[in-house]
Amino acid sequence: MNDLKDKKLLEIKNLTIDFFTDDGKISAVEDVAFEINQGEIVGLAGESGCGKSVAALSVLRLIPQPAGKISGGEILFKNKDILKLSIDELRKIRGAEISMIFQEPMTSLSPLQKIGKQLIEGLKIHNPGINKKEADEIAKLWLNKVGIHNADKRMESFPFELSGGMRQRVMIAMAMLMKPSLLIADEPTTALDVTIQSQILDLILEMQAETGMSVLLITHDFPVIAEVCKKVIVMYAGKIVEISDVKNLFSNPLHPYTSGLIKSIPKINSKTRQKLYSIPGYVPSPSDYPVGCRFAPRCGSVMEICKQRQPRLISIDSNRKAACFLYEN
Amino acid sequence: MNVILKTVNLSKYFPLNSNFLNFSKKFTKAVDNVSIEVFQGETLALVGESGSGKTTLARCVTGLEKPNSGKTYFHSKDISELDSTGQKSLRKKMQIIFQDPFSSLNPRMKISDIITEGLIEHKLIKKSDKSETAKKLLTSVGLDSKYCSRFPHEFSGGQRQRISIARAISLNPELIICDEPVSALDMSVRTQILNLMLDLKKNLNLSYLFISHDMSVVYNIADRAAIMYGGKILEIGNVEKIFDNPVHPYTSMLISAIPKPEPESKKIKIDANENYFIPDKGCKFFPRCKYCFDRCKTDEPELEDLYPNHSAACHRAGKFFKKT
Repeated sequence: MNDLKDKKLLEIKNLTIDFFTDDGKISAVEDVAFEINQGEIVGLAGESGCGKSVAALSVLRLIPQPAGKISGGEILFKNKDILKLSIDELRKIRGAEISMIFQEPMTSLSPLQKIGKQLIEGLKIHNPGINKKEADEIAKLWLNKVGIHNADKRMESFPFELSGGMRQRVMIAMAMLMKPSLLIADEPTTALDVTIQSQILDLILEMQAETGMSVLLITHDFPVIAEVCKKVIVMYAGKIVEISDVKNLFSNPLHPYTSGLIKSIPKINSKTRQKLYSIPGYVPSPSDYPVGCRFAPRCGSVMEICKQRQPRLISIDSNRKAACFLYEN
Repeated sequence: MNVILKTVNLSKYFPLNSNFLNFSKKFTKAVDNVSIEVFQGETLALVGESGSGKTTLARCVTGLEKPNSGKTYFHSKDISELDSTGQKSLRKKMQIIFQDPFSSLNPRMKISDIITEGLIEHKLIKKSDKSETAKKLLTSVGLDSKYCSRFPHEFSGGQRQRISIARAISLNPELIICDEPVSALDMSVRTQILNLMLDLKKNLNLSYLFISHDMSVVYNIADRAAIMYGGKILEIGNVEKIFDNPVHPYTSMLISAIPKPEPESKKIKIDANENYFIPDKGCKFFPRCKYCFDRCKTDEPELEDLYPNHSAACHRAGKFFKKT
């Protein structure tokens, strides 16, 4: 694993994902490109409908078919194009090299099976030779690591006997069992209380530090990004609008959408009390995206060119990119 | 200031493991002996984690749930003693906005019917004036009046929440109970709705009972906050005072759990022990409290005034913070 340090683990190039609906073809993700290095924690931020979850699902080729289709681009994981792998090769990656945690821990665990059985299912599939006792030991070890103390008892529990935070811990243990090199966490804390949220975020950070894996954290919550991530990708209406390191993103956001979102975070500061900033307007629906920049109708610094052409994602400096005409030329 | 809503020792218990005769010895105390007051023109926030009883309390004061004991007064009238006409006129003055704008609007009704249903039921407008009134209401919540004949599925979450607000203000209420009105919304829309609620409050002289689990939202919208845990109020007072000087360990825990939008800020770690329970005896919070001592496990602390407009229920608070 060490020889991969500072190397690209995942590289997504010009990814476009289309969905076929009654209203015709809709591009949920359009021309998206980013990369994740070994050991990096990357945040993928955006509001509902911006395509962040679809982009992440495509990394494991989990886009529902035939409703959706990856119609262009490449997804290179350890220099192999995931889109060109056979199903058997893909299964070796799913759950073993790339694991995923979903938003709602209740619906991602089977209500009819004991926690223990669900935990070792993946282990048994990926290591056919393993016996149940060994698998149970590994599962208990990880349950302990994610902060579930009475692992013996919990292996025999059903998901409904656990609280939301405990279920999410079980999901994390399940994702970590195979020591993946990439963990995709899709809104892992959105359904949880604030106090539990900060515990789960701490846990993800601990697991990352222990194994050196990379993490792709998908969230709509900017403060969560600030707590956890090093690099941030911001999406709006199916496109990337900004890629930046986390420090600069919060101190000096480039895209007007990003700066609007950061300004609208409710702050605990008596000067701003009762005067909240908000971005006017609504997120457009994919069937009527504007011709030019998709943020133009809501943008405070809109220019004539924004309504005619779409901006390209251009490099501003070594680790920042933005798609906005303010920075072209 | 006038008290608009007042509860006195309100309790609501739900039976656990009830058998076929519906006879049960064990109860969950969803709301346990809660006394709060909402003053005219103020926003009182009820804050707590899921399961703390904040929604049950709201359902009891609106009459959607019958409390096991205790009284609720609206303008010093006991709502449990009202006859059916009295209850009907009470509902005119007290409206609710729910959390999920996708399930709180009838998908088979047009927007104009949804927001004028209450007005027609209370015979405040004629059916012929319906579309005119609906247009006015939509404009007042920042929606285009041409949306009148559309159905709820044609709107986004933020727009639907505006429709819910239009429905709530249609009867010109005095108090609106808002049950997590912005938790289901996207971040760019969340502040729009909060600002709309602040504007309406000022223009229509409303009072809000605002239920939320998000301390940063509470700080920006509420005048006073009540922190709930295990069916009890643990701390209540002026919002700025609570944030500047949280007395109860649970309040400080909630405040420190707010993710800060500053990368590289110092993070306070929250104890990872999740194996907590709500005890029958003693302080409800002691299993999670790092300051817990023997007395916390046996005696339940009562709300005590520590400063003007700021009280807390904690044995330690009485000892260390009491005004001298």
